[in-house]
Amino acid sequence: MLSSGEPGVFSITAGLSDRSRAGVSMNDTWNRESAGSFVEALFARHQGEIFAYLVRMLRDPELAADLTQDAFVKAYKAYDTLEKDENARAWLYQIAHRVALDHIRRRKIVRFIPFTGESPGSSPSAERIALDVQLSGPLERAMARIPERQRAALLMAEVHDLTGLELAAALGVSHVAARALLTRARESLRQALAAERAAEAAAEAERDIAYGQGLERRR
Amino acid sequence: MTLPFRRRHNDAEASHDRARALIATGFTQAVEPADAAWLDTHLAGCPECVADAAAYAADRELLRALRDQAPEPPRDLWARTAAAIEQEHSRRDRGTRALRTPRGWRVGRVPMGVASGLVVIIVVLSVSLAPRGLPLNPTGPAGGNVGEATPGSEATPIAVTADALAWIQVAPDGSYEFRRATVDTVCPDIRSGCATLAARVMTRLDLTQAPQAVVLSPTGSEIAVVTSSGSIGGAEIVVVPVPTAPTGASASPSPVPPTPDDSATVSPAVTPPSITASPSTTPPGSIGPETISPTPTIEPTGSAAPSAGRSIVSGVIVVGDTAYSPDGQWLAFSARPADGSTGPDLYLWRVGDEQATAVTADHRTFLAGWLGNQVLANTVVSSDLVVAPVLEPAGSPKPEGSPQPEGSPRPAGSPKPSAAADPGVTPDPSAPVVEEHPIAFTLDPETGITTVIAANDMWHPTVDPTGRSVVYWEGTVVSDGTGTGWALGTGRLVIDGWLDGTAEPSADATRSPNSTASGNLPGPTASGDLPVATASGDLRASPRVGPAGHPVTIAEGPGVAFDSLFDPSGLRLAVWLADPTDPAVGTLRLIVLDPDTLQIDSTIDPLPGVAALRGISIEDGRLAWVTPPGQDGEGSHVQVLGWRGREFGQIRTIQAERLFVVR
Repeated sequence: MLSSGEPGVFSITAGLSDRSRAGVSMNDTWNRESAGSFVEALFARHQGEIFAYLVRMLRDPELAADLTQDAFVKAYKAYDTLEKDENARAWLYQIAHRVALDHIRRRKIVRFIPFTGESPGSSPSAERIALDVQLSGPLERAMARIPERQRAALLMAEVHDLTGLELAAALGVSHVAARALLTRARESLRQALAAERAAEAAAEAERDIAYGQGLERRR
Repeated sequence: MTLPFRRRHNDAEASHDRARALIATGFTQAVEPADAAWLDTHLAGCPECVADAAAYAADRELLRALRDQAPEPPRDLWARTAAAIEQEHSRRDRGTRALRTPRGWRVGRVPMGVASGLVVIIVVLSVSLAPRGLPLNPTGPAGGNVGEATPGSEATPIAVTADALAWIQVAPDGSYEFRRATVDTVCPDIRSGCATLAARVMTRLDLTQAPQAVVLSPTGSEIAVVTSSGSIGGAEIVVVPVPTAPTGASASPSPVPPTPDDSATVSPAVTPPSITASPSTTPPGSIGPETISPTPTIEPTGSAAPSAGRSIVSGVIVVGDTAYSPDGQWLAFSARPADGSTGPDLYLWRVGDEQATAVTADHRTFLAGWLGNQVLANTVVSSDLVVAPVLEPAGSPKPEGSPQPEGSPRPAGSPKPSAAADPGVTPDPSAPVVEEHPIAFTLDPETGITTVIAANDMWHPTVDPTGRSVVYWEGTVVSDGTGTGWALGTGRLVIDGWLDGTAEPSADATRSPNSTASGNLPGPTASGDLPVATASGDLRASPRVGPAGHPVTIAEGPGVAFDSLFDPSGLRLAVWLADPTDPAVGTLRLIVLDPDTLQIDSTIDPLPGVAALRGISIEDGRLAWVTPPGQDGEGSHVQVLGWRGREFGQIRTIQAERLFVVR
């Protein structure tokens, strides 16, 4: 049974052997408890980075929370597919990555959004503004413009510090392919950031012109 | 986006690509000495590559700075995850599919894929404009019908005063039954509360094609049945008289139904229309009025009077909604020829006429609904072309498959006829997606005057019956690739206040159609019975009519389709969002508005995202929909959410064994 409070201290291998996890069905009581403990420990250690990764991938904290939950449920279900405990982190990223891509693929759907009680035209909360700023800078917009797999590769390699092998495992590709993807991602980001900055400069120039024209009219 | 390092024939380009690749690789691993030497040599002669290297490094630093801004997960995330895991395990234990952990409004991805293959038809009728207070079934069912159980003893019912409900379902003998029910009691707990909703078979319809949508006239005396468009001959709309109240053996029969041959002699209940009806030009192969024939009821009460149907349009694909005007004088819809030769146009049928008439000719006009007794419609333009709807010349009704009028070029961005030729054509996923811009306009069916609504990118607006609120898609639309219409593009579904513009339009709000921005499109012909239309191509022209400009997001896109309906009070809003994998099913939510502020009342959430088939009906005191089969292992029901003030409860019909999802 899982604890309902805070997840326990991380102890992936406590009482578990690789062999014991293999080939045991989910309906096995022992396995259920072991899987639960295992995922609870994984959650305690990695929930922050998995959540952050999904926020960065999707630019939506609420959605990221939902998908983090999804990822750990999937980890629970796929518990016996992890061969070595030392691969747990990359394995978890792989699950989260697939969850994110699945969601992006399904995104062709209109979603109801939570009602906040905001009146039409009312000002957004300071918290919302701070979040928007955090999620809507040129870098974030540029990242949103590049292909998802490239975005994932950049985030995992540069922000989440996955090693080359971990990156390959998480992306589900060979080491060479992961490196090539990362290389393409850097170029895509360079181009996207340049485009974002150019657009921002153009908008700024437009505002200056409009401001100047306004001044002229007032004179 | 193209791959930045694809192999090129140009040696110089290939060298630059190699240099960039090596620079990028160097960030995460050591470069081979030979490669490093080559890179140094290349950089010495390539300022562009040096700049790129600097940009890579700068971008990388920017990216790595994100590590200092790690967002914090919500504190209850473990509790939610643990609960979801428990639920997952329970689901496995039960061997059934489980619901996901509640997640606000994103819940609702219920298994719906099975819906499309089942065999029952229940069409919730839009009885929206039925006469208020009409006691369709004041004394309960007459007997012999399904679902006459009384509320269970354990029920905790809520008495409601709701408008009557009507639907069509397939009888065991394969015929279609028109049923009505009165909703006077609902229960907070549908499973342990109310018994099934009592229904009465009002009449039977011998349809040869499954319905796609059915709407009830505001007079309550007839229904318009839109048949499905799956056949080669396309769909038709058949108007069928129906009993307005339960009739016993002694009840007077309905007015003598017309026969297909003498339908023109039927005296309509309204003034003859100004739009000349077309002669009967039903082409070979189309489905004529005989497709719905009067079938004497076999109900024990003999309650249903014989009915006859009259086809008012055939050989078309009806696109979007079909709706009677509030005064019951007109029926509006949009349709395109079944042969796919053109996109959709707006059609009007004056009740009593022989045929419906196309009133636009731009082949890209959709009905949105009615705004009072004005038609509310959309036309779609590409971003650089803002045009007014092109009106069909008066007195030239457009029978099915009529050719495109001479001199009417296909506007830019309209669905390609080749793609539209086959209604079942699969959109080409590799085709570029062109986002287009909808324009909403009103059209007076009596005068033909059109007025563009001052709002950008307003698609499928629904104005509440009290004229205070509007729901619409604020965004672009994209061709669905089939020629039948558009899907939602980039944007959001919003609710906003509505300025009803009771004042006279300003001088520039209406213009001669000849002055519209589209010089290459034909203007309306001011002849015959259709008055000269005026239109505006300037979105800024009509400031007094339109949204208030303070939209609140209800749902986010991109998506495929939605439906929104207000109750008569304008304070209950039903929103249905189509499932992208099967647009026949979707998620339905009831939104309650505060009566004082007209804002969304976030403190009450009586129906948070339930699975529902396309085709909903909301009226005073109740919302009705059809549940997809397969929910909890059951078939479809007509499900009703009823309310009295802020109390809500549900009731439903018995499960139907053979259900086709129609709408």
